[in-house]
Amino acid sequence: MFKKEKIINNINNAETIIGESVHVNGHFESNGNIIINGSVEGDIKTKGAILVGEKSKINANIKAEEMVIKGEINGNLKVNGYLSIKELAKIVGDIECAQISIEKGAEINGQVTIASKKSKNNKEDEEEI
Amino acid sequence: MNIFLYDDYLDKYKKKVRKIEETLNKLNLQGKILYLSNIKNIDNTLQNEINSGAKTIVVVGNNKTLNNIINILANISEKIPVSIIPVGPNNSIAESLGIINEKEACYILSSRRLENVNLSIANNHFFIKDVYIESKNTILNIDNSYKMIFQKKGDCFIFNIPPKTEFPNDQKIEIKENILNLYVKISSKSKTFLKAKKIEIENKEENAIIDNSIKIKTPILIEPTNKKILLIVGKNRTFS
Repeated sequence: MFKKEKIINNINNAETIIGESVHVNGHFESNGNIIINGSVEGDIKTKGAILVGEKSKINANIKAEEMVIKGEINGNLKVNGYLSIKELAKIVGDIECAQISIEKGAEINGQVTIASKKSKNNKEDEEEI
Repeated sequence: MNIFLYDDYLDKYKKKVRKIEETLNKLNLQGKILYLSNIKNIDNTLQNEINSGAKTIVVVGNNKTLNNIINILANISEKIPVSIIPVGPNNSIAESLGIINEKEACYILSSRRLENVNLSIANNHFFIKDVYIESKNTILNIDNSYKMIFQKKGDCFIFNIPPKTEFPNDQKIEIKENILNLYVKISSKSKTFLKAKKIEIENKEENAIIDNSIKIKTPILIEPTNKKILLIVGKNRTFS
């Protein structure tokens, strides 16, 4: 199995799950994987992966290590690693990630920047010097 | 010496109580029996018994009895092991401790397997197991960082210690010191699960229920505490 697929499967061992019809408002931060099936407004940050379910509606800027998107997001995304955008996803906002896959049918309205982790790290190192 | 605290309602379970006493005798676990209905100041009585060398407090009753005693013992500095012999309904705490029925409870008391369990607090009331509230119109303020709003009917639990039997096909609820586990089930498709350090509950229509026995009005602030209670638990039940 590819590493990417492994990461996505591991999301199912999420530390946090937001159920359908649940509304979250504010600064949502976690150290582990998150599954979102409800709606979120504010910002989301995690050191783990995020799975945005088909029925979820998010109005938030998101920072995560890995991400799989099946629902709607209105906000900017910063993903350190792999970002998978599924066919029903709708994203309005800028995207930054190291690797990306976009399925046919997905909608993106914003700027997409793809920079590998290595080049990102190099850039950060250069900035520090 | 074992101190057995008998709840008032045990009058309805005379046969069961007699069987419990027979089993305790067989196991050489005799002690002093105190009837809660006869005690005016239970705080002083327990303190006096502990000062006189009580070895174990054995609560013979249900969730409410145990929760009341825990709230007294939490404010007594000496640590004394506490056990429950469940009688009748409303004994989910005993079940969480791996104690299924009164007969088994006597053997568990005899085995004396101790676990140090952290208590959580809801406003000024300590609890062992959980706080429950109907999810409809419930607003949870989590860690002063974000709010969760529930509009649909369902069950909202905040666990200090989870039930012994895990929810089927659900997230595993781990026990971690100073961490609360939130679990909300609206339907089989809508389940919410997360860990938090502090949860505030608001619901203008519904009261919350502590340890399945005491109703309190919202707003309620729930936090883990550093207070520990030494509980006698069933085999395979660990809290660390």
